[in-house]
Amino acid sequence: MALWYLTRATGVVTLILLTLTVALGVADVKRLHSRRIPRFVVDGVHRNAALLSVAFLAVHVLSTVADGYVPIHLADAVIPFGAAYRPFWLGLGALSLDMLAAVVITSLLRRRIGRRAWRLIHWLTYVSWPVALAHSIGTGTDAGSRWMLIVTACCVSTVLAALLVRRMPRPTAASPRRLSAAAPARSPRALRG
Amino acid sequence: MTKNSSPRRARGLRLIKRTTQGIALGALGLTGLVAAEAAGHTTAHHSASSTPTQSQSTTNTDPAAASEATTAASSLQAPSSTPSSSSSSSSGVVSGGS
Repeated sequence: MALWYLTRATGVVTLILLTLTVALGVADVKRLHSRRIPRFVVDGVHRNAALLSVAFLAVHVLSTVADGYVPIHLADAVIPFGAAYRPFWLGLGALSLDMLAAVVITSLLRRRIGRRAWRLIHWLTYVSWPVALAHSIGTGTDAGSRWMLIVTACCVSTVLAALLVRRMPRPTAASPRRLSAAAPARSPRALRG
Repeated sequence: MTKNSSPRRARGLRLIKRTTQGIALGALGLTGLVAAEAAGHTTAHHSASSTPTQSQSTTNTDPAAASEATTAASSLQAPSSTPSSSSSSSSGVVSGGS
């Protein structure tokens, strides 16, 4: 039973960490930073939160498989829609895991694969997060409880707010000119980040 | 002075470390909290989506079914002719009925 409690708890925490990662990623893209919190700090925390969510996701998957009460194998966590137990909802979890794995691996190999390919794969985050949310709502034991509804609502509103910020024009739209006036030697590539 | 050794960067790196530690501790604390909350309730998963391959422990059985079983056992025990000799309920039922 302890493993089952661990599965449920790590599932919830993974969703929260993924939400935080998405929000920080958007803040990073939009260059939301201050004098006290420079951009590389936002970038670093975003990266660490992503790695932390992967660690919690690993515990979530392994404890589910190790629990053994329901017939879920390790392959079911990676291959979508092949599980004997709740194939659709578990398949969504597997799909989300695969996309997240692709995002994390390509982020770690960013220098090797190039910025363009990394960016394209990184867009998968915007698909992976709602799929993970659907998985948690569809198969989560606590999905109907009041505290989980609050957690879900907070996560959804955070990501929606992040998406709204993402769609807004960059606040530093005029800054390249200002920066180029201040430091003309700096290349536009460096400014793009 | 290199970029890595600037005080601003060092302060930023410390901030990343502290924030990450905070997030990790928060996540661990939340894991414990949710696990404790889950343990506090009856395990809806194991009773609702029961698979026939695994038997449930006595603490996790449906309360209604448990009380029904107790009632059935006591009603079977009642006609026993040797009430003082029954040490366990199951043996008492069998011997009393026959």
